[in-house]
This record gives sequence, structure tokens and C-alpha cells, in this order.
Amino acid sequence: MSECLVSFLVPIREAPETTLTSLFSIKDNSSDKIDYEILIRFDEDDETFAALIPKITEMFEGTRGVVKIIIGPRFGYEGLHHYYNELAAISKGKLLFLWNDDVQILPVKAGWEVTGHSVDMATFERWDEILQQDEDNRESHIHVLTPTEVYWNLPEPGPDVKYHKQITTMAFPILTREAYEVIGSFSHSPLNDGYLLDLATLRLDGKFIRKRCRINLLHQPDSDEKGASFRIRTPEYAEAFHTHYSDEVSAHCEEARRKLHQHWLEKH
Amino acid sequence: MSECLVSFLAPIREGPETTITSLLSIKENASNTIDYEILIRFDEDDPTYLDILSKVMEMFEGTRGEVKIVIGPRYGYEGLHHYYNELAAISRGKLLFLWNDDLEILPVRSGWKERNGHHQMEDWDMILKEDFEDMGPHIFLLFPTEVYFPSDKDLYERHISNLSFPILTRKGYEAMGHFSESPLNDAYLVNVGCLILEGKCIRKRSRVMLHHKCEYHPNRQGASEIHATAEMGVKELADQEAIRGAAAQIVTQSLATEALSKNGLL
Repeated sequence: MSECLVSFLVPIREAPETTLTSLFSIKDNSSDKIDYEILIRFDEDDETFAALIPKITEMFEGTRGVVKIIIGPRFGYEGLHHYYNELAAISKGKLLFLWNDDVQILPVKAGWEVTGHSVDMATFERWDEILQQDEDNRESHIHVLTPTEVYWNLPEPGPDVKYHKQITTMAFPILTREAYEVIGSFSHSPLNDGYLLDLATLRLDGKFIRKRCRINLLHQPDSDEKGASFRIRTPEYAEAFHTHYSDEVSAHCEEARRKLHQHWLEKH
Repeated sequence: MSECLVSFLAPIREGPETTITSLLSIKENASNTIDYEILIRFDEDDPTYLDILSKVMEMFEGTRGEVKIVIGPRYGYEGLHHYYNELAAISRGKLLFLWNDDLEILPVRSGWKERNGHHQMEDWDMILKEDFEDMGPHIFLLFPTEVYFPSDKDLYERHISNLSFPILTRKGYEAMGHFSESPLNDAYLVNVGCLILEGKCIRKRSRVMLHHKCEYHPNRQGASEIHATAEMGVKELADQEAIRGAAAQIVTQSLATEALSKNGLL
């Protein structure tokens, strides 16, 4: 097996349809020339996984995507980082991609295949080739790549609209293996994206350690007609939010930043 | 004045509202720390240009965006490349950006600068500068990421594309000696961009995000017929050869620089 470019870290609970759509977008938009991993974590009390697992393994059969599955105790939303840390621990990729079941790789039209029969076929970019280019081109101070997220199912901007149709680059950070090994964990907060964005406020030689990468994602979080996420109204989210802003998580993040900075100084 | 990063080449006809919205998106999403140019070409018989002209000048006053206007004879849609070639001829930017009035720079919300901070908005000029600086010596064309959020008037379903708004590098422009030879300027440059140098494509997608509100243009059919001629294919091949020559020169120069540097002469 050649070097694995990226490990998708995917904690899933009771979401069979969105999971299949999401994973299919990874398979369907890849060149199938570059190795990658799909690492999934199910709760042992999730009643949907038995039916889902054979569909997933079948989907990636004969492709360059290796599937590994962990089934274990439930940590809940407030313990989301434990799932990511478990998955990161068995990962092999040069990049560790925080993934959810409500996100898909977006196809990018890149040209036309001329058929000579008056109908030309559109050709599309392959996410793995784009990510490989971005990885090859990554400067040594960059440790967090942030894909481009498209939210085109959200409402138009307007009064009382919480989140409108937009482009962002915040929710699905990709951590380098080098940084993961220096820090020793993927995240210490259930708000994993926020934690990694906090980590990425570190500057090395005056330059931010994060960079937007060219992979385009379609993110479709469950939300109301004003674009407000249903998740943020739950008690589990309130607990996760409280944990994220605790002194303990803050100290972990500071320590992670210190380790990365120290590593940079030793290398340069 | 410092070096100009990019020249927006914008031929406009009777599009006062879309033009203002389009140019405002450039101004509002810039860091205002990098120089750029807005080069506009109006037809002399366009009754709307006098009104737009003053608004555009005022819009960019005190910014790093310098506005230049060319007013001249009408070439029509089938002569669209003549507008782009005129604008390219007076451009100074290191990059030449094919622009339309139905286009906007899309704001991108990004992470914070300090821990537990608030989100920031990206600046297109900083992103384009980064993309330009790390694109590699074999790249002659950057293609921004186009997002099609559909409305009733739009021609296409929602999708992401990477074909319609090529950004030609100055070295590519100088090698070719023109911006485009076809009224379908985007397709012309996509065809030129099919050139492979040492196994590598000469084009690359840029992270600049565009919102394209594309509507059907009745004169496109005539332009398509011009574009599809055998003569156009010959011109594209000649441009590919010119770029191949320019690339070889760049490699020779960089090898010479490396040798001088190794010998302590630089």
C-alpha cells in the first residue's frame, strides 16, 4: 500500500441515510488513484450500524479508500472529542480530516470532454488530486488546512435570519499528522472545530498556521427556516459549549500551542 | 506606487446596476493593502456610461483600486475579445482577470485571529496574492472558483465550476502577445490552458470565490460559431507554443540564477 494521503474521521450515530450520501460523495468524486481512509466510530447502542456497515464496506470495495470501523461506548455530543481522538489514534493519513455525516464533497466542473456527437460531457475535479496538490504545496508553518464550505440551502440574508446562504471555512479543519504527533491528540473539546481554530490562531514566524484549502464541501446542518441550527438548542450542546470555554480546555489548547511552537523552534 | 497585483478587465454595456454591484463586491472584500486596477471598456453609443463613470470613480476614491476607463467603438458580443485585448494593452497587473458585470466576489467567513475570538472575513486580494506566490513556475492561468446559486433568471442549476473567468499571468500574456483571439474568451483560454509542460497542467484553480449570476445571451450563438472555426484552433496552438517557449526561458533563467547563486555570484 502506498502512502495514505488523508484519514476521514467520522463519528456517526443513527444517521444511516446522510452517512451513505456523505460517504458516497467521497467515493464518487475521487480519482481513485490516491490512498485514503474512512474511519468510522459507532456507539454500541446505535441500532442502525448493523445494517449500515455492509453497505459502507461494499461501497468502498475495490477502491483506494480503506474503511475501518470502531464500535464502542457512547460518549454523546458532549464527549464528541473522544470519538475523534479514538479515530485519530488508528489513523495513518498524512492529513486528519474532521468529518460529519451532514457534509458532502462538492463536485467542481473543470472542463468538457468533446464527444464529437454534439453533446459534450462535463469533466470534474477530483478532491484527492486537489488535496494532494494543496498538501504538496503546503508551507512548513501550515498545520491546519480548512476546506471551503458552501451553505446554499440556508435562507437569504434578512431580518431575524441567524445564518444565511454563505461561504465559510471554519467547521471542518484538517490537521497535519506532524501537528497531531507533536500535540499528542486531535482535540480536547467537544466543539472540535472551535478547538482546532483556537489552536490555529498560533503564529510561527509571524504567520498563521492555518490556510484555506481548495476542497469544496456542501454542509447541510439540520436547521430551521431562519438558518438556526437545531443542535445548538439542545442541553448536550449547552454542556459542550460550557466544556469548550472551561479553564481545563483552555489549558490544553495553550499547551498544544506551546508544543507546536517549541517543535517549530527546534526544527528551524 | 507599489506593484499592481491584478488588473480586472471589464467590458460593460448598458449594465449600470449590475456593474455597480459587481465592482462594489471587489472594493468591499479587499484588504485595501494591495494595489489593483479596474479597467473598464464602454461602447461610445452606450447611453448609460456617463452616469456609471462618476459613480465608479467615486467608489474607488481613496482605495488601492485604480480605475481606468476606455470609451470606443462598439464591437458587439461577437467582437468581445477586442474589448479584452484593448484593456489588457493598458494593464499593469501581474495578473489579468477576465471580468463581467454579472459577477461578484463572494465573501468568505473564516476563523478568528485570537483564541475564543470572532470570525473574520477573508480578503480576496490577500488570497489571490498567496495563490499567485505559491502557484509554481509552470502555471500560466489561474481559474477562480465560481459558485452558481440559482435564481429564476439564471441559466444554470446550482453548481461549482472553474471555467469561465480565467486569470492570465502577465508572463502568459506577454508570450502570447494578446489576451484572446476569440469572442468566447473563457473557452479560448481554457483551450490554451490544456497545454501540459513536463507532465504538469499550466492552469490551476485559485481560491478566490465568485458568484456568477449567468443569464442567457442571445448573441452567444454567433460568437460560438466564430469560436468553433479551424482558424481558432490554429491560433490556440500558436499561443500554446508561445507559452511553451516562455516556460523554457523561465527554466533557463532559473537554472542560470541557481548556478550564479551556487558560485557566490548573486
